[in-house]
Amino acid sequence: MNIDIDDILADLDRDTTAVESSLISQSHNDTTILGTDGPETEKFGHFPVPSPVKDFERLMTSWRNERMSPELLPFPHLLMQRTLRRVQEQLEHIECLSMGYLEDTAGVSNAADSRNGAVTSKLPLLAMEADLERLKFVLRSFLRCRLAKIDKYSLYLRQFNDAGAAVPLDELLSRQELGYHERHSTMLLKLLNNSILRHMPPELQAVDDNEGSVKMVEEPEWSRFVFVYVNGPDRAQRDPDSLLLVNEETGQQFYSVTIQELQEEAELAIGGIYVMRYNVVRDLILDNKVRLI
Amino acid sequence: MSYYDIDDILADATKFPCRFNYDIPGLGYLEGNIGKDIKKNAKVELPLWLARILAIVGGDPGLSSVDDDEAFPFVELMAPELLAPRVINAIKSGPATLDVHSINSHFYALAIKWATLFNDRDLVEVLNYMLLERSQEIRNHAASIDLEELAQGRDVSTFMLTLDEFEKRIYRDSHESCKDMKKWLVQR
Repeated sequence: MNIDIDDILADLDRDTTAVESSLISQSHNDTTILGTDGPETEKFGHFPVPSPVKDFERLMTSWRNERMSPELLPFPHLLMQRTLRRVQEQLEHIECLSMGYLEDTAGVSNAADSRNGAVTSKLPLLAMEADLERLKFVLRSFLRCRLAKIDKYSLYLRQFNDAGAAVPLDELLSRQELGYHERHSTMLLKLLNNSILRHMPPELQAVDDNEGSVKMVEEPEWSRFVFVYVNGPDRAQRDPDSLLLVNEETGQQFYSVTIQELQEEAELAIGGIYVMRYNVVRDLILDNKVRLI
Repeated sequence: MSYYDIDDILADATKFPCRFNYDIPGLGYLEGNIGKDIKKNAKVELPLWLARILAIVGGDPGLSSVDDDEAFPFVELMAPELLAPRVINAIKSGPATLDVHSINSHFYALAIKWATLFNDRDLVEVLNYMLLERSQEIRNHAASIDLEELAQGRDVSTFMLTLDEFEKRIYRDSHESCKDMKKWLVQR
């Protein structure tokens, strides 16, 4: 006769983890690294406090997705805001520490508190710098990748400015990217106009002519094949996810997607890796249930 | 296949044999005799970018009412050399040994265009089979230079010479990634 006490144990576990997490967050605040501020947490009341580790994971995910997806994904405004602020703070923090290191080498005796104890050994400083470089590399690569896509799809993105577009352009791009897109396309247009287009008859002067034999506006390759990893819903509790179905034979949880062209249903089991057309899994990617690899 | 795709532009410049359905004045320069008219049933080799649009757009029914009321397109595309039955049969018999590059250096691009123009299901099937078979071979070549074959005296590069532009790109990409992967594994 087995009594299932898993939920009771889980309750106990939750208590201890709650204490630990509060301890961790306190320690984070002590070292002034990457603390979280009031206004954003209030804005995201339903979110758990966005921790630096979580944010980095999210950044990695959006970096990978951006690298592999054929279209330009929406810009993660809040995530980038937080990350950029943390980079700044961490930069200052490291600077402060290294200053302290320079000053206090002479008088080690008064370096009694824990902060100076860490300072005297170089290892934490090195680790912090290397970590910052890593983060900055990811950020740079992410942004450059986006810029490359903006170049490629600049005519296509212009259509988003028209009324009736699904996503407004300022949600898709950041402010700087908007400026880049605007200026870059005017420069390109000027070059084309001055060198070639003004010698053309007026009806052939448009650069975004879709009526001709070949479309001039290049759309993202919606049906490109991508590798996807099905990571399931973000949070631990799976109940509210209505898309998630359960296979009756194996008990495996999966998402069901329909491939339009073949009229075929495919099961994406959680934890599986698939090669799929991008337009088939696009909604799941935007919902963060599947990620590109 | 986008507007600025250089391979696509090159592929579109391939000439296809066409037959005119109308007498058209002034178009003689397509045949080489400038200033003359083009006669009905004249056979002309036209680049695909021109032939494609002429084969879709119909002539004025009034202009052609001599023969029949049906609005023919200006030209009729005739089966090109690169998709002749003997090429199709050669593909069916052995895709890996076929010299695609000598048939046309943009074979796939043109065949795809042709198939979309005529909704040719059979051709698509043949192409699918061909691409699958040949891509296995390409992968083998890209993964490594096969020492056994070198030892047997068979020249590996003969297969490379039979690739068309599209396959060359596949080969280059997969070869680069294999090479980089090996480099990363061996060197630190």
